[in-house]
Amino acid sequence: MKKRVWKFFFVWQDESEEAWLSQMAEQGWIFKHYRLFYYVFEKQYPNQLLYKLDYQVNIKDFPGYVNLYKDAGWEYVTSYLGWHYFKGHKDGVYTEELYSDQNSYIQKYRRIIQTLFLALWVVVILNLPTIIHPPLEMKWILFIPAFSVILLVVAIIFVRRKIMNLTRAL
Amino acid sequence: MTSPKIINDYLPLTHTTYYILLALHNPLHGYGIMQKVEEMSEGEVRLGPGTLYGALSKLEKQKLIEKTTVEDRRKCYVLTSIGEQVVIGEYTRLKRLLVNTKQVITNLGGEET
Repeated sequence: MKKRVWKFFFVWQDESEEAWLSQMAEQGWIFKHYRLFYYVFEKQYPNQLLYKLDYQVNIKDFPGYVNLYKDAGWEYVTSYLGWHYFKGHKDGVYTEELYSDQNSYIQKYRRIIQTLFLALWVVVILNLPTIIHPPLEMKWILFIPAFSVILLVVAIIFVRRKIMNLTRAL
Repeated sequence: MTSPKIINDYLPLTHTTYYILLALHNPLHGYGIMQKVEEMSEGEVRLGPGTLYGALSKLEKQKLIEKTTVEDRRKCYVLTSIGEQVVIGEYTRLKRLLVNTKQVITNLGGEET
């Protein structure tokens, strides 16, 4: 039996997402894959599972990457736009976190920020002609890039704040 | 021999990086590194896969380590000559730190001699 769940997490809420996937597994809903705000679960026996989201772009050797995590007890689930989902049993994983030191954990959020900045520039550059010369009778069209820019800027601010909190704990 | 100035650019190393480099004086694959580091540190350091993956990519890019053979479909890494010199450089730095603090520690009533 399968179940689709629509749910939205912001980019800085990865830890809440991990916790939610674990809760679903406790009820027997095992996470299978994710596509744009919807999660597909499969009904199995309730299980105590840990879920972790890694963020990596430009992985040169994907099987090697997955294998390394597998050796450390983390089973690969699925990927979406640079996010890689892993699951593991509390007693089966080598470490309960994918990142064993604060420094490398911060690097994960730095990579996310880089992507957000890239997205921000792409949105701005693509919309530059509309922003400079908005079609007079269709000024509302500016809401679309404006909304995307606001969303990206807010995301950058929140991820930054997360990095700052992690740095403070160093 | 790479000039000491270049070697100093890599120093100081983080705890994690130093242990990974130490482990790689013999070729090892990822999981082998985790086990070796745990053994060397007497269980103090357990590397997470994300931490190790990031460190290996970075160290390879910096040319401190390089890929060698493939063992059970797992790539093995080993120190390059620059990597070896960086380990020696870090060891020398740490040793100097120890020597320089020894007197203070003795005065503070810490370890004798």
